[in-house]
Amino acid sequence: MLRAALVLPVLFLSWSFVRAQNQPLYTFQQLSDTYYAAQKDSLKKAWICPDVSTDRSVQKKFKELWDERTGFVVTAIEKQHFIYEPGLYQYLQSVIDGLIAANPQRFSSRPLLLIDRSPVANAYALGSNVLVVNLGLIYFVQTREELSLTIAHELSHNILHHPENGMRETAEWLTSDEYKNSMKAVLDSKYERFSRLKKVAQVYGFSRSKHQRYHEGEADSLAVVLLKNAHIAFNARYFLRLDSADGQYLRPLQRPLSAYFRDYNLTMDESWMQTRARGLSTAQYNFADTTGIEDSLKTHPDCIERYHKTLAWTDGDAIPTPIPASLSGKAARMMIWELFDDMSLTACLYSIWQEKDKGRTDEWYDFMVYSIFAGLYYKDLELHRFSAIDIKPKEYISKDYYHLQTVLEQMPAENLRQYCSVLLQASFWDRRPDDEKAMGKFLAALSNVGENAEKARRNSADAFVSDHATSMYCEFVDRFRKK
Amino acid sequence: MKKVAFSILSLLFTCLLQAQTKVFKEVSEDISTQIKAITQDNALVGYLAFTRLEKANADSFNYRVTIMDENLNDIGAVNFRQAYLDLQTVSFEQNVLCLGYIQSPLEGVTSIRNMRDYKKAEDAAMSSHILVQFISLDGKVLNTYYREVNLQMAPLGKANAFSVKVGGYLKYGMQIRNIPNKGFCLFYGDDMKQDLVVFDTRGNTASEQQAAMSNHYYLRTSAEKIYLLMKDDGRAPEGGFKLYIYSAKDLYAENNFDLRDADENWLKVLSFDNDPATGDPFIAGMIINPRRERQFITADDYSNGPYLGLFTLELGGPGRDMKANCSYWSKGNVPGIAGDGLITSRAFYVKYATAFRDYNGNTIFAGTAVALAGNSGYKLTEGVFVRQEESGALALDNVIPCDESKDFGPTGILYNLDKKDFYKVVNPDTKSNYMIIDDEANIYIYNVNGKKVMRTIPHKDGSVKINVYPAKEGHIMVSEYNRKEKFTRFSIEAI
Repeated sequence: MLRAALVLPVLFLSWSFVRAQNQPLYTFQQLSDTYYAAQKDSLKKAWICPDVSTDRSVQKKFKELWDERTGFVVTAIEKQHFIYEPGLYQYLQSVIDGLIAANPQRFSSRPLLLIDRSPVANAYALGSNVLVVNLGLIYFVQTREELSLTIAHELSHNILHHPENGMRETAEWLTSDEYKNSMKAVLDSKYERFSRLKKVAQVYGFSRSKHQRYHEGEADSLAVVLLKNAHIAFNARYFLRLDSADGQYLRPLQRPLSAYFRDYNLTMDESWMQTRARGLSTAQYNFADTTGIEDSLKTHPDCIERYHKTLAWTDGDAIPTPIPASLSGKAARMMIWELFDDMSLTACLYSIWQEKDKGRTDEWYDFMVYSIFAGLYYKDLELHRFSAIDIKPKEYISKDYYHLQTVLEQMPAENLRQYCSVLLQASFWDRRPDDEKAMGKFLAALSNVGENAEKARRNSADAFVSDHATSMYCEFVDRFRKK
Repeated sequence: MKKVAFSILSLLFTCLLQAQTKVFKEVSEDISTQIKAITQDNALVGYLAFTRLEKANADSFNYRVTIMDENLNDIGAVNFRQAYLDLQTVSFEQNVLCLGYIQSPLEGVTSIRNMRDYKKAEDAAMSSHILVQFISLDGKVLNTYYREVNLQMAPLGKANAFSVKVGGYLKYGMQIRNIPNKGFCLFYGDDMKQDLVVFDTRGNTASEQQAAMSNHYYLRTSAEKIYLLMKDDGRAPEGGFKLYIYSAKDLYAENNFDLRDADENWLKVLSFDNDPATGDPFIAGMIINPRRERQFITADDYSNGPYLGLFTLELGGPGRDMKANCSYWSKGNVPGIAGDGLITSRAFYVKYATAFRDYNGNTIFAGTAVALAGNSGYKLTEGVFVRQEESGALALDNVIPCDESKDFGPTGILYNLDKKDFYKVVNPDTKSNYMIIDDEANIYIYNVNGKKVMRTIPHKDGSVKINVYPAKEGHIMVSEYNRKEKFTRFSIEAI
């Protein structure tokens, strides 16, 4: 009896763990084109262009910009750039609600929150009381307070009407005599037309950036006020952390690359890590960087400057609340899937290894490892392996990332095929949900070649969508169906 | 590259661009870009985009040179101002790029309405220059080299009812090759002079030498020697080749000889390249039948034995002497090949197109099968690979199915009918040779050592037109032009 009493809870715990792991991240219908279908249709009606100028040409231009913004949001919804995931959404919404409750005089209504699937650590205010938070930001922030600061900052932009003011300023600039004359001068000039046009754009950009930098300072200050009223601890150090927001692929892995392959019984030939073809990528080049943003064109003040400006308001002794691991883990998986769906396969695989380094052992990652190699094999057959690897210059990535992209580039197609077949035999499949098993079969079928291959892919895609209509993987499969 | 967090969405600059479509259209019409491969030791190591941005003043233009690595990633850009330039060639050695341009007041294509316009264009053509520019990989222009040249003028068609378009060109062109660990060698020639110049990697002139008069020039280099292959069209239509060998150090003319076999038969050059195993240059081609040296145009000509056999001339290297290897089927003692060159087992002649060396010391000749069709007709069929071994033995290496032409008569001109283009790709790591056969409907990627077609890629896939070119070692560049969406996608794929 005692033994049974011990075994049963263990079995129950294991069952709960597997069940939790097998919960779908989201459904296909939670992607924006379906989930926000009603909002998309009503946006044009709801977003009525306000009168901002008595000058007809300014008002006309402002309306063009206004409509363009509406068009941007509508297109983003259609292209599934946004997602509704209840767990993440409710967490973000609770942060927003807390800020509203503590600052009722600042908000006339609850903002519309959208979650952008982008992996870039960012959030943005669209104006018209719309706030967008990227998955990349949810993954990047460590504490609720850090997330609150970001959200408060963006809400401040909306409260201060910065997006609308920016559009008005642009409309005024584009209809000004100064701008028209400078454009006319470009056309009238016999020489240096490109340079003149560039200068017009730079003058415009400089003026806008100067304003925007001022606006950022305003938004920082108001954000701190919103936080203080809501009794949310503020720490100026959060601004310093932002400097590392882009460095995900610069962070090295914790183990040698081959070890990650060995975890799946995949043999990685060390020679694949060597860049064998001669080329300038391995040369010692050091051109002056002309591609970066010049200081005068930066839209944001430097993080160190923001840190010093707000240091005095730091609540030194507050203990921050960590972001629940389940939420950042979910954000990570959603970003990984998004990278796969976008066929950015090196970044996708590297992100999985990084998650494994954090001790995340969910078998969903194993399913994704198979998907990556099957996707790469398919891309190789289609002669698109290069774009799926998306080789990045060595300056922007860690040594490990560089080696990984080299391996994916150098490994022969035959080894890719073998990898797929080894991974298809792995034991994790027994414990994966039906849609993932079907997705595995669908990916395997992609590598079939021959005269009827396309038709077979189409049939297989139709069958998948029909059997698993709510599966998130329909997003990938859908593109193989006949439109 | 840093993306800044906490940003307000920036739609506005896009709006600025869209708002002034006319201005942008007009300005962009003045911008033109040329893409060139950057080579070192005859291998592709990167790409270069040369952009003429705008006219800067009455005499000069603003340019941008964007340098990309072998994966098409930008690694840097250099801006400069110069008179009208036309980029001809790019080479790379010791972290220095060497770019060769033609600089001319002719400014590309000119419309001529009357004699005065013609005279003006002629004067401009006469006062042109070649410009060699040396750029380091930190973006500095290290040095430049100018020489005056006369450009030839050529009509390029009618501009309208009252004028014709003419363009200028350098009669004998301009070639630049790197000299391993030393610098660069330049060849250029107009109607007055044909010169060789050697530079160190800082762009300093090490030596100059005038070359002999001829009709065509082909430059190759090794660490020790400069090879200039010349062709005199007057001596034999497909022969008339003469090789000059100079010291890479001081351009001292060490040797020169006509390309003829021991019986004084002219040799037709198919390939002047480097052996992938040794790096030494070699020349390979066909031995011309002296009695039929003018009969090589039609299918019937091919059936009457215009060639006696195949040859390879290894030019040697440090510790290796020059070595000629001539194999004659005309003697009737080559198994599988008749005295007139017919491949007996398959009953076709071969229109040889190119030759390359494998890693086993063989020369592989590639071409198109000219097969008999019906009573007196012909058709162009498979891709054919004939192997010449070090011993001189010839053998049919492989035949691969390709696109077949329609049947044609004995007077069919093969050069017009044959749609196959052959490009070689080498993978030094796996010591493999590949051949891209760009045929009329399909592109075939063939592994020569494995004797296997790796991929067959149709040129047309719906609204997408696909082309394949050699890229970095062991890779191909796939270009996909989407006619519907009007964009071209480039991709570099391992074979």
